[in-house]
Parts: sequence; structure tokens; C-alpha cells
Amino acid sequence: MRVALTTLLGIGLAGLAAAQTAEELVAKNLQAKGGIEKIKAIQSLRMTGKIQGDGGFMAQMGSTAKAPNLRRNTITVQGMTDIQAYDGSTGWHISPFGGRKDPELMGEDDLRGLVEEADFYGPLVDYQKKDNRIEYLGHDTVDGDDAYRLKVTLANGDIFYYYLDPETYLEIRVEMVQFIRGSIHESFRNLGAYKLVAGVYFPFSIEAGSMQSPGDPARITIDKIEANVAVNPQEFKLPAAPATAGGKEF
Amino acid sequence: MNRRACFCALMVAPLLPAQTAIRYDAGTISGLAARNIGSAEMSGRIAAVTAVNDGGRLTVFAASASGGVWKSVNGGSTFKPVFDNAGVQSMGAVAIDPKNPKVVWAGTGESWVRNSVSIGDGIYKSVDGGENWTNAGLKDSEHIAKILIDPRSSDTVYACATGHLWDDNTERGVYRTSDGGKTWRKVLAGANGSTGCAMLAMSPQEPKTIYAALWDFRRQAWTFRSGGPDSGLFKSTDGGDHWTELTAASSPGLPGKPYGRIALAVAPSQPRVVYAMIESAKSALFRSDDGGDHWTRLNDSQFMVWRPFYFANLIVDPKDEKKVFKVDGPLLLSVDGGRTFSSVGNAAHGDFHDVWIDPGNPNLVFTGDDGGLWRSQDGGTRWEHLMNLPVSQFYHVSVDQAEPYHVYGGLQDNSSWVGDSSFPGGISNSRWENMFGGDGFWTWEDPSDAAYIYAEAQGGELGRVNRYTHETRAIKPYPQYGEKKLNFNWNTPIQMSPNEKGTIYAGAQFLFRSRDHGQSWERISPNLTTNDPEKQKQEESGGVTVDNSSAEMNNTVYSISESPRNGQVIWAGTDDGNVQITRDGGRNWTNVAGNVPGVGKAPWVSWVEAGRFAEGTAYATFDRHMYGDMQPYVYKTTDFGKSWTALPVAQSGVRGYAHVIKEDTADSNLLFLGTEFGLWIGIDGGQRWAQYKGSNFPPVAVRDLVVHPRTSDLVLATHGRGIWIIDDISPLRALTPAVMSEDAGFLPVPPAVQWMETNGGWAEGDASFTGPSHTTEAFIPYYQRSRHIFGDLKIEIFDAQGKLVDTVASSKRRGVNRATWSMHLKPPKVPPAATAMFQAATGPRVLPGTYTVKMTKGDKVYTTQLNVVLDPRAKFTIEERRTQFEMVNRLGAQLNHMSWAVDAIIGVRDDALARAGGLLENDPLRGQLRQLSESVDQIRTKIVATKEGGMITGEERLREHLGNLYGDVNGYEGRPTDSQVARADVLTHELEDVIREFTELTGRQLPAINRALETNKLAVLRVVPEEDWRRQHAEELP
Repeated sequence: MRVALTTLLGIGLAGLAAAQTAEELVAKNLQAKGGIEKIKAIQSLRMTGKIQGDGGFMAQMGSTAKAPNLRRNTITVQGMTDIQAYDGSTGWHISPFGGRKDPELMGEDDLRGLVEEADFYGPLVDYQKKDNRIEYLGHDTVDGDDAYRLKVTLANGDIFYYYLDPETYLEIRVEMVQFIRGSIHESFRNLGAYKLVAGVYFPFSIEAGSMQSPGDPARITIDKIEANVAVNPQEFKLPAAPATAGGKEF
Repeated sequence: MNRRACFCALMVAPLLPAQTAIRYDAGTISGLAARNIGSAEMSGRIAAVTAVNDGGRLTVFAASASGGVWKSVNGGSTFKPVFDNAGVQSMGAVAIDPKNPKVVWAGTGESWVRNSVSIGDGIYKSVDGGENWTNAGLKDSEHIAKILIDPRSSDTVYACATGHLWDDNTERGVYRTSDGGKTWRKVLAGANGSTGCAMLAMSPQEPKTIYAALWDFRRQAWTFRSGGPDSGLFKSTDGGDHWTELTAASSPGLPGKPYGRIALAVAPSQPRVVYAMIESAKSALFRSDDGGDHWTRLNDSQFMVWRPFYFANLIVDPKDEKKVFKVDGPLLLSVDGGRTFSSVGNAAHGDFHDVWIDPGNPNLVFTGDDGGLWRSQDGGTRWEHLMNLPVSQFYHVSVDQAEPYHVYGGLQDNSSWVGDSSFPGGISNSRWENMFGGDGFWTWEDPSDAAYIYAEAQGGELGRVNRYTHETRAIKPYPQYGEKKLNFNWNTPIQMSPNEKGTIYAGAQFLFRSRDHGQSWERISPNLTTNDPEKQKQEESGGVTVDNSSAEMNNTVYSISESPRNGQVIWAGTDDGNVQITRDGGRNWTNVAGNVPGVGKAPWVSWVEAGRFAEGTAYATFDRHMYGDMQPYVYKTTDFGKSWTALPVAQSGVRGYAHVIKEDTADSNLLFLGTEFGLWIGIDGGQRWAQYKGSNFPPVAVRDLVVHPRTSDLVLATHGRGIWIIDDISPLRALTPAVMSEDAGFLPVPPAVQWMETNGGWAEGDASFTGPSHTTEAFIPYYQRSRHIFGDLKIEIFDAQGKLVDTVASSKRRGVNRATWSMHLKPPKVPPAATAMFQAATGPRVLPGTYTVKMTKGDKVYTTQLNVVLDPRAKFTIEERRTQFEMVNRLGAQLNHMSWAVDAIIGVRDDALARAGGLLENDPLRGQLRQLSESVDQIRTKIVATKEGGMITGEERLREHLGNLYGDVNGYEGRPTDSQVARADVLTHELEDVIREFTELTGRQLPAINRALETNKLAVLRVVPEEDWRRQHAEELP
């Protein structure tokens, strides 16, 4: 399971009182996060945490990101680390659990989400420049509780629905709709436990899953987020692939 | 007095309660998730279907009778509900804008107005392909049969508002908007308050020419009338501005009036070709080839004219004006312009309502019937059932005591079924089994013999079924000499005695009791109804066409409840307003209906429920929707019905006519109320109510519910979205004002059963529904007065010795929350190798016992106890469980030990190689170091598999053997096999042999090598001691 940096950097809107506009909600969300200046003062992030799945399964996860759109996600089990990375143009992964540790180019189904996560500040920051369209859809409920619902249509046509806590204007849920080869992939994230990192609020608790099986999310707990760490751009680059036509020794 | 101060006090006083009030609403209770277990096996009634080819893919909208709109973007392989944010779930029509497939219109309120039909709240519009909807008006229409969109002007839309079924209203007829739904104008009205629009038709080639069927109709609890003088066929040639009625006089060939319901269609390819199935004294299909000027009577076969109120729809092929479908019990198809018809839907469920034909490929056809949605790829001859629409319409639900328990229920035209409440891999369609036939209603396991099931079909056709052989015995009571008939309701009540296993009740106008499985029946009451002859004319029901299906059988007992506290106290509610009670087992009865204030005349007593906690207490719901009153009425008595108090449901925001009310099994103040628009929960004896919305539970009719007495699961029978289960509602019992006024705190933690972690089921593809099973994790319920937004909310688990064993993820909702704990310890550390060893990726499950749960929220700490217990189905003893736990731990310890050994080897290997790299090529030490590195790595290859490549190398070494053994033993929580025990000894021995080889090698070589390294001022090589290694990896180790 991947954690969207977009969710870490947040997007949120809400407002109970007078009529809201999408623009107002975006502004309030970004202000609630700490303000656009502080958000943009962050140029890189590194985070670590753990993912809990069914039956006691747990893995360490990590993520490194750099503005404007570099991203590297890792999941570590038994000392083996699965990597997915995007360097702004190419997405690749290493999936070592089956015995192959060579980097491979990612297919569209996996890459789409990674590319969207790689948008360092998320789709709301500078949404106009990104050709993202925002629309306030009115009140909705999350588990029976009131929330503002904001629709964000990305330039590529994918849609993010943000559910914003009406008191804080922080997002408490994001639903993602991706259109891949015309097919729809829907997923969600429930967000909470916001903490300040370099003056910006990030969620440290995330439930993430598919809309097809919403009762069975992966539970992600972030242990640490560091801002403006030194990040080598090479981390995101496709490593030179060793010649591995056949088997080799570990 | 200070007048200013007084004024201020007046101003502030009303605010105080609001400021200090404890918030009890949907957000308070919806944190307990519900799971929908379907089923899509029998699915449910589809009222309308349409589709559009969007970029080469078919987008399909299925408008279900009472389960909302479902959308597919892959031709039906998958569907999702897209209408759950609306206020209703009953659908009558759906239409896609021909100019813009993103614009979709939905008319709420099914127009196939059978006795159980629900209502809508107007017409909705979506501008994003059905993802989001806005109510666009006609909110009082209640039923909408058809929507037409002008193919040349998207803003011009016609709505066929059928109008109220049960009473007169004015918002009915043909409506037109010319501004995309902002405003509507009634362009064709009936002459009276009971006449509405039954169908609209136009050809896209001539969108100004519109044909409309007006229908004069009325349903009452005891009769139905289809037709009247104001039913008629109308035509407009100017987009609805002016209308002309087509009659036998004006349009030769048409039958004489009065008409009933009329089905209408215009051939899309030939705008002058019009089909009409006209219900009249001589119902038949008619066709006009000249735009309605002249008509030819074509077909009056039995299924062409059968039940017109339910099957009034004709669909003409988009390109072939002679090919026309007529929906009915069977699906009828004509290819000769309506002269002859074949029955083509024989493999489908039957009772069809709509058809959609792909204009680009007429061989692709969808149809909806009482059993769901069907797809044909050969023009409508052969059909496949789309098994992914859990829109099943349950009337009732019951449960048994199996582990896991089964769920029983009957459905509209879909028989009586038994399903699993939980099953390994999920509750697939195949986990449901049909047990009877007809329309299904009450279904029970025989409490005195679990091999048998009581079920029924409409009108009191009671049966007792052997669940294994399906042998069925009809057991209904019959009339006595001289009696014309027993008045069995369409939905005849059957109840099991809560005091005597094997005693069952059934209600006609009398109450019957059997103590011998239906072999004999005692008539234990007089006629409990009003016995009004005017309401006992079922045989005359139907209007123009007699429709005597027992659907309008009235003056019947409809609800029965024997007091759990005293079997002599029995309540019976009737469908004509009586509330009867006996306190002596049926010898004497008292009608206490007159003591119920404010329910009006002769309401349907939809539910009566004897209290569980006090003999004189009972609850009743009264349903007046058959008089056009959609409000809920819920009452309580504590004195055997002498007086009744109305519970303030409407004041608490409860919507929809009430179907069922029940007390919790443990808390007399906790009440569950099902209405036509959802589930409401009252926590203080019914003084305040909150709508349950957990897990996107839709605003669907909750017709019945049951709290499982063992598990405290709340099982909901929805009429449109199948069965839902809210696992363990016991946290709601703790929602006292004191608890809800606290910032946070644990709610009573139920015993954590270690349900077996097993696998089942099989891949069925995307086009098949599977409902989730009960979790195998422990529930940890807690309450928060507000959503936890900022900072950690940490939940930790400690064992009896105070050792931290796990930290679990918390949920952050306002109100009731439920974290879950896997009950697994950390997995062992597994040495790195060529592949992951997922068999050892999960730690052992903790032993049963008492654990302490600590929640840290800000600077506050809360604790509670969690009692872990074995799965009651376990065949092993707790001692055997301990043996297994110790064995898993022992194997895990071996893997940890192995990890140290491998790390130690790798350390020497890599350090030796590194030192060698700092030496000259001809330095003998360099060679020694390289040799040492290779030697120890050779030893490592005896421990771990090293062949990479992502292929199935099949290479196994000690790590793989030990990991597999760990997984085998960890996968079954009883006693390990003798072979496993022996194998553990073998692997321990073999591992020690290899470690000894490494120790001896390094013991022999390192002293000399290290002296040489020191001579070269290089760091010595060292085998990391296991203790040091353990300290370094303390966080990873269990």
C-alpha cells in the first residue's frame, strides 16, 4: 500500500456557515495546514512508518519526496525492500520478494498513482497552474459526521474527492478515482493524527484501501516525517539494470 | 431588577442547552461499521435500465426498484451504487442525454406500483456521468415512470410523473423543463387527483411528437384499481404545448374506454410507427403506422395483457421497427411488428420491467426483472445473470445459533433463503441457498429441530422444509366448515415462541398456534380484525383487469409477539388497526387500539413487539403510508396496552413510515427502528434517535432486524440492498449521558474470540458479489466526543506481565470508534536470502488470557481489560493451544538465532573482503582474507537459499525448511504433529551443526588473521556475539 504525499501535504476544505466556494475552501485548507508560505518552504520530505494488514501482517514503510515531483516509496519485509520510484518522467520498481532484485519499468496501472503522489504539494496547491479544476459539492457525511466535499479534477481527468472537517478545514478523507485505459480504479484514504512538521500539518495516521472492499483497509502509522532533508536526486532515477537474463546468486 | 440583565438572560438561556448538550446523532453511532452480505445470487427487482456506448465501452445504469441506481462502466462486469447520497432508494426511470452522456436523469419512485412499492422524492440530475446527483424538483411526485430528453436540446426534458399511489395529489402528469431542470411546467394533467402519467414515448427523429399515457389508478390497503374514466392516450406534436386525446372515435382501431394502464413505444427508426398495449375490457397490443391516426389490434395473448399495472412497457429495436419487446411475466419478443410474440427470457427470473437494446449492436440486450439484471449477446434469446447487484429485497430476517450463525429471510418474488453470516474468504453468492419458492417472507429455523426450516409463500402458504433434502411439507391451517377462506396477508406473520421451543404462531384473521411442527393448529383467538366486509374483496381487486394475487388481502393479523417473560402474554397487530393482547395464552383477548392516541383510523400495525424486560411493556409501529401519510408512528406501553406513549421519532428526524421496532437483547433503553428510509437507533428508551450511516449504509428500507442473542450482532433485512450486519453493537449499550459527556474513554470491551484464520472461496471474477466476513481480530471499542484531528491517539496492548505486546492503529471518528487488534505478536526475524519467507511473516497469535489495553490521547491515558478466548469451534484444548504457541515461539527463536548466525557470517564475509581490498594484490593476507570470505559464505549457503532470478528455483536450505515449518505450525492453533516436533529437533540440530562449522572455522582462522591485520594497522575481524546482535535488533525482535 502506498501513502500519498499529497495526503501528507494535505488538501482540505470545509465550512459550515455561509455558502462556501471551492476557492475559499482551498484557501482555508492550505491556511489550516500552516499557510502557503510554510508549505512551499518545504522542498523535500522523508518519512518512515509501518503498515498493518490482515492477520497481524506488518511491514515497515518509507517514503522520500522532493519538489516538484520526485517520489520514492519503500516497503520492507524481512530485510527485503520493495521500491517504487518516479523521477519526474520515468517510474520504476524493484520487487525483490520473489527473488528478483532488478529494477523494472512500471506499468500504467501502478504508475498512475505514484505519479499523482509525486505531485509534491498535492493537487490543491497551485491548482490553476496545474490545470486542476476544483468544485465544491456541498455537505456530505463521513461515517455519519458532517464534512465538506470538494471535487478536484486533475488535468489528466482523474478525480480526487476531499472531505474536509468543518471545524479545522483539514481533510479527513480523500477518495481517488483514476481512469486507466478507460477503466475506473477507486480508492480512499482516511486521515488523522495531524502533527506539525516544519510548521505544516501532516496526517500521521492513514487508513488506505480500495472502494471495492472498504472494510478492509491497510492501516498506516507514520513514525517520523523530516522536512527539507538532503535528498540525492539519484534516489529517484532508474538504476542501471544488471544483466540478469538468468539466475544469479545472492 | 436590572432590565438589561434580565434581557440578556433571556437571550442567553436558550443557548445554554445547545452549548452543553451532549451530541447524539449519526456521527455518534456510525463508527460501528456494517457489512453487506448480499446476496446478489437472487438479486432484486430492476425497474429500469439504460446504457450508452461511451468511447467504445458500455456504461450501464440499472435503476433498482428500491436499492438506488447502480452504474457500470464496463458493460456490466462491475457495478457500484451511485445514488446513496440521495434521500430515497426507489427508482422509476433513468435516462442519458443523447447529446452528452455525462448528463444523466433519474426519476425516483418506481412506477411498477405493486403493494410493496416504495416512494421517491422527485427527479434528479447528474452532470458527471451519474457520480453525483442533485434533486431537480417534482419532489411530491412519489413515482416517475419515464424521462425523455430532447435529442436536439439537452435542456428540454419530459418527466412522466405517475404521482401518488395511495392518495390524491396534484404533482402528477407530464412535466417539461426547458432550462435543464431549474423549472418545470405541467404540460399534461389528468382530470382528477388520481390520474398521472404512466408512460411517455417519442422518436428521436421527431422529438416534438410525444405520446403520453395517462393512468387513473389507486391502491388501498385492501384493494387496487387500475383504470378509470380519466385514463387515456394522448399525443402532442409541439413538444407538449398542446395535446390531443386519441380515442376510438378520433383514431379508428382503438378500443373503447375505460382504459387502464397503457404501455407505449415509438419506433426510433420509424417515427410514425407507434405501439400501445392498452389495458381495457379487451386488452391487447395495438399498432399505428401513421402516427396514431389509425390503429390495428394485433395481439392479445395471455402474457401480452397479464397484470398491466406491473408490466406496462414496450421497447422497439432502434433500427428495426418490427422488432419489439413486451415485458411481462415472460419476456415477449415480436419480429413481425407485433403480430406474434415468442417468449424469450425463459432462463431468466421472470417478471420483466425494462429492456435496453444497443443501437450499435442490437444483439446486445439488457433486461431487468424481479430477479435482477440480465445480459444477452444474441439479441435476447439467451441470458446471463449479472451476479454483482446485491439489490435483494428482504421482507424479514432471522438467525440461528450455529457458529457462525446463519441468516434466514424471504424476498419479493425471490423465495426464502439461508446464508452464512461469515465464511472463510467471504460470503459469495454461492453461500446462499434457496429453500422454498414464490415470494418469501418470514423464514425461521425450527428451534426444536435444526434440520428443518419454516418458510412461506405469499398469502399464507406455509411450509416446513428439510434443509438438507429440501423435502417440503405444506402445513398451513385451512378454513373450517362454512368459512369461505382464511384471510392470510400477503406477508403472513409466522413467529416462534421465545418460551417454548417448537411452538409456532401464524396469523390469518385468527391467530393459530402449533406445537407439533404444523401437524395440527389451535385457533387461539376469535377474529382479531375489524372484519369489515368492504375490505375483504380481494377477488374484485385490480380495476379494469382483475388482479387477485392476495396482495390486497386485508383484515388480517400482520404482526405477532409472544412475551419472552410470560408465554401467556401474546400480542397481535392487524392490518386494519387493531392491537390485540391476551394474557392467558389466547383464551381472552382485548383490543387496545383505542388506547393509542394520534395514529388515525385503521393504520396498519406493522410491528408489535413484546418487551424483553417487563411483562407489561410492548412497542408498536403504525404504518399509514397506505393512506398517503409517510410519517413514522412508534408507541410504547408499559401497562399491557392500557395506555400508550408516542415516542418522539419524527421530532428526532426519523424519516419514513415505520416497519419494525425492537429492544436490544441486553439494554432496555437501546432501541432499533427500521423505516422506509433507513435505520434509526435510540439510546435512552427512544427519547432521542440517530440515523445509522456507518460504512455508507444507504437510506434503504429496513423491513426487519434482529439482535443476535449470542453475538450482539445487529442483522438488518433491507428491502433493496440485501442483508447487512453490524457486528457486535454492545458498545452502544454503554452510551450513557455520562459517557458521552466525557472527552474520551473505552467502552466495554467484548471477549476477543480467536476465530480461526482460515481460507475459502475461489476466484469468481469481477462480475460476482462477495460480502465480507466477520473479522478475526479483537474489537476495542472506545468513545470520543469529537473527531481526533491533531496528534497521536495511541492504543497499546500489554500482557499479564505488563509487557508491551503490540501497538494497534486507532480510528479517529467522533462518537463510537472501534479499533481492532490482530492478537498476533511480532513475527520472528528471518535471515535475508534470495526470496522473502512469507510463511514466517506473521507472528504467533497470543494465548487466551487477560490483556490490558492502554489508550493515550494527548496527555490523558485510559486503560481497560481485554479477555482473549478460544474459538468455541476449536477441537483442541487450551493445553494443546499452549503447546502450539510454545512451539511457534521456539521455531521463531530458531529463526532469530539463524538470523544472528547469518548476520555474523555476512559480517565476517564482508569485513574480510573489505580488509582485503585495502591490501596489495600480492599480499598473502589479502589471499587469506578472500579465502576466509569465500569459506564463510559457503557456510551461509547451507543456511539460506541464494539463487535469485525471480524464477521458481526450488532451492531450499535450512532457512526455507525452518520457515515452512514455522508457517505450518503457526497455521494451526492446536497441537503440533509429531512429525513437526521431530522436524523441529532435526532442524535445530542441523542449524547448530552449521553454526558450529562457522564457529570452528573462525575460531581456527581469525586469531592469526587478526594478528596480521593488527600488523597492517587494520581493524580486526570479529564474530558479533549473539547478545550484542540481539541488543542491536531489539526493536525488530519479538
